[in-house]
Amino acid sequence: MIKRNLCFIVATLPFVIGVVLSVLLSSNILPNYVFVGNYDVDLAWILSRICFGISLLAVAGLVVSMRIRQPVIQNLDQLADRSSRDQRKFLQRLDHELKNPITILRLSVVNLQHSPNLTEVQKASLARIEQQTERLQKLMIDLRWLSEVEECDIERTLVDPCDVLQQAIEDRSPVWRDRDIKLRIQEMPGGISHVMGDRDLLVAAMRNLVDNALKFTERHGQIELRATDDGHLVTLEVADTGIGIPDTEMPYIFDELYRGFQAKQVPGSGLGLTLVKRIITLHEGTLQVRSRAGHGTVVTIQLPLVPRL
Amino acid sequence: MHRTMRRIELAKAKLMIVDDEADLLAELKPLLKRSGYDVATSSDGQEALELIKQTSPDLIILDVLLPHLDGREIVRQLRKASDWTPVILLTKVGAPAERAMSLQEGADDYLNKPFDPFELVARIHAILRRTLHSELPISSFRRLTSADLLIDRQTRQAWRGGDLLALTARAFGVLEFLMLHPGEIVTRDRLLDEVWGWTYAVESRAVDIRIAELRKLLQDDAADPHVIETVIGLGYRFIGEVKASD
Repeated sequence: MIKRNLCFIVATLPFVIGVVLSVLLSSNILPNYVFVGNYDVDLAWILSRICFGISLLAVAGLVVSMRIRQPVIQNLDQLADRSSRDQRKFLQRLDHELKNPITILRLSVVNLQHSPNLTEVQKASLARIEQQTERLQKLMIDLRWLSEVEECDIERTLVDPCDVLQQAIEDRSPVWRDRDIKLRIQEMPGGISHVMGDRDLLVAAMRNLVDNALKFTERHGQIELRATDDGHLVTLEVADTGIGIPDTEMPYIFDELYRGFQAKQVPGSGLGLTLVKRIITLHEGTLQVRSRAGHGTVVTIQLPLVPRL
Repeated sequence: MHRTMRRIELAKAKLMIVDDEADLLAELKPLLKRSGYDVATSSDGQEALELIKQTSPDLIILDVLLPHLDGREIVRQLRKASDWTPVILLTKVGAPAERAMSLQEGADDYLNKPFDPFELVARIHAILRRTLHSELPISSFRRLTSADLLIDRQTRQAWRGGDLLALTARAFGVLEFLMLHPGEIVTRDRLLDEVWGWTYAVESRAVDIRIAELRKLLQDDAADPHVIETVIGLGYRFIGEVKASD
C-alpha cells in the first residue's frame, strides 16, 4: 500500500513541477519568453504542457498496471492456496496408502518373533525390521500431523512467553550438561507481555528449536534463548554457536523432509522446522532464520502481543 | 437383536475382525489366537453384518473402509437394533469432532493405523473387562458422575458438589477420557492422541500439566488420591466409581 502511494506521488510530481514552473515563468521570476531562431517562444506554456503530459502518462500507466496486476496477484494467491491444499491431499493419500502396509509389517514381525527355533541371525534381522518399521511409522505420523496441523483445534489462552522458554528447555539439561554446552535464557527486565495462543504448541515449537540447536552445537558451545517485546510484538530467539547452515541450503530449510548435508549425519526426520513454521503461522506470527556456516544460527520468532493493562 | 447381559470369560472370548486387507487379517488372527481368543474374520461389510448376527461375537474389531457396507454404518445398524456388542474401530479418525462422533455413534474405542499390535490386545482386554458388568457402553451416555463430581459431555461442563469448575477445554477432555475408562491405566501418549489429537509436536509433560490443573480443582492430593492416581512409569488411572446417565 505504501509503495503504491509513493508511485502515485512520483507520478504526479511532474504535474507539480509544471505548475511551479508556470507560476515562476509567468510572474517573470524566471525568463519567460526566449528567442528560438526568429521566434519568440512562450517557455511557460511549453514546459507546463510537457510536465502535465508526463504526469498524465505516468498516472495512466500506473492505473493500467494496477488493473493488470490485481488479477495476477489474485491468481498467485489462489495458486498458493491450491498448492497448499494439493500438498495436504497428497499427504493424506500417502497416509492412507501407507497405513495398512506398515500395520501388516508390524504384525508380521511380531508373529515371526514367536516362531520356534529362530537363529540369532534371524532374531537380529527381525529386530532391525521392527526398528525400521517403527521408524517408518513415526515418519508417517509426523507427515499426518503436517497435513492436519492447519485444521487442528488450538486452544487460545493467555501465554507467558518466558514460561514457554522455561518449558522448552525442561528435561534437556542432561544433554547440554553432558556436552558442556552453556545454555541460558535472557529475559527483558520487568518481564514481557503475554501472547494469545496455544501454550502446548508454542512450547513444542520452541522445544524443537532448542533440540535443533543442541543437535548442531558442538561440545563447549553456547546456546542462548531470548525474550523481548517492543510494545507491538513479542520476539523469541534461539541463538547458537553451532555448525550453521550453508547459504546454498537456506532456501530449502522449511521444505518438508529436507535435510542439509551435515544434518544427515544426525538423527532426525527433516520435518522440525516445517512444523515450527506452521505452528507460528497458526499464531499469526513470523519466523526468520539467520545463519553463517561454521559460526552459528539465530532463529527469530515474532508474535503479536496482548497489551498489558 | 438384543444383547443379554452375560459374563464373558475373557480367555475364551469370541472376536470378529473385519478388514478388507487379507494380509492384515492373516497376521492379526494368529496374534489374537495366541492371546487366547477365538477369532473369526470377514473382509466384506455386508457379509460381516450377517456373520455378527449369526455368531454373536463378544467383541468386533472393525475397519471403516469396507466393501458394500462401511464400518461406521455397521456400528449404526447394530446400535439401532440394540446390539451393544463392543466395537473397536481400526482406522484413522482425524479431528476431535470426528472422534466424538464415532463414540456417539456407538463405537467403544478406536485405534489409528498403523498401531502397536500389543496396544490392540491391551484395548481388547480392557473393553472386555469393562463390559463384564454393563450392557450399554459408557461412551453412549451424556453425563458421568463419580461421588460429587459430574461432567456433561455435551455442554463440556463439569461440577463438583454443585459448583461449576473452570476447566480448560483440554483439561475437560482429559477428565472425560479418564472417566470413560475407569480403572484403566491410560498412558500419556494415549491422552495426547485422544485429547490433543497429536503426539508429534507436544510432549507428555503437557498431559502432566492438565492433570495438575484437574487435581487442583478437584482438590485431589497426588500423594493420597481419591480421583486420579498416577501409575509411575505408565500413566494415570481414574480410581473413582463412575456411573453414567442421560
